[in-house]
Amino acid sequence: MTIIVFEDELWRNFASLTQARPVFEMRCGAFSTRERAAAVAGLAQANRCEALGLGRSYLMGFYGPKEGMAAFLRVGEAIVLVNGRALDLSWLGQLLAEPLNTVYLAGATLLGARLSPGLASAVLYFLRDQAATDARDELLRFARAREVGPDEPPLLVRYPWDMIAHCGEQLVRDLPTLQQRLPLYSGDDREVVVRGEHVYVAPDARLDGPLVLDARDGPVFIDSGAHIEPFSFIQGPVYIGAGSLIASARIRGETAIGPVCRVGGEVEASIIHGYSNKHHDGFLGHSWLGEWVNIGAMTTNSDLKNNYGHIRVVLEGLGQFDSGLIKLGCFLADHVKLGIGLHLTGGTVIGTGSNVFGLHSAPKNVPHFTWGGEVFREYRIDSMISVARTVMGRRKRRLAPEYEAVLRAAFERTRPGRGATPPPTPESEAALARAEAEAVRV
Amino acid sequence: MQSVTRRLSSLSHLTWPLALTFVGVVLLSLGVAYLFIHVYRTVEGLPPFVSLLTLQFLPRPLRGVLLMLVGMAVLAFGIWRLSGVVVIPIPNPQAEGSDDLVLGYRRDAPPAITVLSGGPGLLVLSAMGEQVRRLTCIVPVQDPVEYYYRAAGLFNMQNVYYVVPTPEPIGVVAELDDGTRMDVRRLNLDPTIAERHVERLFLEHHGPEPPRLTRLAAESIRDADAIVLGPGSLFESILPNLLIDELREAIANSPARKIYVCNLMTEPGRTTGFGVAEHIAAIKRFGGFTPDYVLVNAQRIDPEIYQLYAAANQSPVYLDPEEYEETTLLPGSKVTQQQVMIEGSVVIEADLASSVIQYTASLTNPTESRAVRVLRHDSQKLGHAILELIRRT
Repeated sequence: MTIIVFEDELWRNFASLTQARPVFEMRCGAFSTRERAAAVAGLAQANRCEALGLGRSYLMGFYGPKEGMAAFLRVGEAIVLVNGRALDLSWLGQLLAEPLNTVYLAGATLLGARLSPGLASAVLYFLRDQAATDARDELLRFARAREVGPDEPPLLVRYPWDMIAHCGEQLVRDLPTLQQRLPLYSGDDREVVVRGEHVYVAPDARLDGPLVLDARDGPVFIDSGAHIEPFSFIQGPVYIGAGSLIASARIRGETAIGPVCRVGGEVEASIIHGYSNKHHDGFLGHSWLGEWVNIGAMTTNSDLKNNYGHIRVVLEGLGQFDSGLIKLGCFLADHVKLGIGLHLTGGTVIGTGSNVFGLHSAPKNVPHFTWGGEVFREYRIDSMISVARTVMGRRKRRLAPEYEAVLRAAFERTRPGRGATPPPTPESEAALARAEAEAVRV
Repeated sequence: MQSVTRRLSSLSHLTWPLALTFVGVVLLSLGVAYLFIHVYRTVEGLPPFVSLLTLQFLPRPLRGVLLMLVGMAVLAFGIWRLSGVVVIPIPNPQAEGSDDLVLGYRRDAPPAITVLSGGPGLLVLSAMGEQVRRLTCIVPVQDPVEYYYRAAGLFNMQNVYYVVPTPEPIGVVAELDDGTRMDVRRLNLDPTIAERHVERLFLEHHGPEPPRLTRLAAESIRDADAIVLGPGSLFESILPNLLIDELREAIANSPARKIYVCNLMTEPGRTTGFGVAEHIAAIKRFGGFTPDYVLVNAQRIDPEIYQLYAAANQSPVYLDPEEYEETTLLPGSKVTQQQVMIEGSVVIEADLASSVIQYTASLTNPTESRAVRVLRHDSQKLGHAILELIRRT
């Protein structure tokens, strides 16, 4: 069996955050959709499964299989398709038990399918171009269909804020999968105060008391090699990824932290992807952080308007949307660097690779690959990649040529969105150099 | 006003060339004017229309002003048209922060080619992938598509798309001239039928409705500039797909040029005794259409290789000299006088093959292999011939 997780037409709703990553690599709960599909299928089949990604062509060199399209079809093996926007995958086990050539729909959207290699090959080229509607129409000519539910969360996320709003529930749904590899906490350290039942801690995770693990409102998962420093308060539902450091922080419920992050201050109902730092004091609430994000000390975001109204968000290429949420923080795409003491208003979106510093209040929308404070300028891609290489090297990660190609392609694709930016001055160059040094130092 | 400025600013890189051109035109005009004045003052008896043409009925200053106004209007119109049509700014992805100004031009896009063939044939043509807009290979209806994906991965094929004609493979049965029926894939494995040839071909499809064509296959046929049949086994790789009604109709309705790559050798148990005409006739009979062009190998074969093939009941497929003579002598259009036409197809002879060393092992002793010289369609030669044919027609 080969699992293929694909992007559909609605990847554009997530374009503000996904110029350098496919939609199916966005984390919500303890996993991204691709990781969850592999884990759920592995659980259902009692066997380790791998899920391959099929997204925009310029991302495939890094996020797709090395063999290209050839990897998707193996002789005589069934193909299982999973929509990359899918959140709750409780239907996947049932789909795996269905006869070949069965399609699951969420409303009118292609949610998943179990196909023969022949029929899969008839739609792979549509999915390669994110034309899932064409793929669905073709599948409906030859396969049996079943409607699983409406085209909305928890089956499918539609907008970036859906992931924040549904992270807590998803963490609870991830419990059966995580229970397979994380043991229930049974330590006898009196300085580790445990409240509630579902506290799962990897054997090699390090808990330095005094600290509190509060699972009364939802499970607490602490993955392999994570380190919780003294005076931390961790409230479930929460997931702390492998190798992450919680630096005497208050981690409130509905928070998911990816691997090798450093988190301090106060964090509430937020999603932090791998290798990101919010090491110092400052509040982060109802927010979404990509990979390799760095937030300076005392930088804080607002997640509630003073009039308790709905928070509006500008989505790239689509305009302003009412999120329908009263509590919503900021969205920081991959490789975003924020200086010290910044204030971000609710619904702020900062694009991939941007560097914001020297301000009291950050603008609500910052395009991809820009830097500055009072004035924003295009970030030279060589400079940005040089900083990324240094930052990744500090976490013992190599900036692969394929990933560099993704960043460069993203830079080119987003160029029209930056418009005409003023040329740099010696003073602004010096300010950028200081901000880059700060981002690398942490 | 901003849009006018923006449009004219696209000519900023051409300011100097345009200024020089303007100066040149002014000097040229002055020279012509001096010559005219010389003619007026020295030549007598000019016809009256010259006086009318040179506006001599108007006072001289008015003439000058009128000509200047008209000239400026023409110049402004010319520059306006130039800014919108000839010069196109495009971003240069290689050079950061700079744009290139290039002269706009139209160039024919590389062709989109759809191929109907089997594994070895598609392998031969895969090298064309880098020279075409899209190379779509419709795999034989009886073959599992996974093998083709695997080959594409192994050989790192670029811009080659494998498409199934039907979602599930359908078996194909051949009926030989002696009435024997067997799976088309087993024909060449049975030496007892080596001297036979196929008379009829059936799909093993038992559903109430005929098999349906996939959308990708239908669109690749509809949008192709050329549909290439072969190279490959006529009865195993090409004709089975033509048994699908919707595929046959799609080819008939496609405006693409249909090119058939004729086999180098006859196939035992399948096309024994076939010449070029019989190959084309089989396509007409099963596919219901006549290829526009047929590519036939013109290269003569080494006697050594000839003997090897003869021992396996195979003979070369050449253009029969008799056919050649008869068709070229036919009176008619220019095309038929210059080119050989058989069964309605233009037959083109070209050097398409190369002899290669192939290592073979037997099932009885797989560890022992032996080297054999065989004749194969040459990927480079065939690709070049097909692309050149598309370019010229």
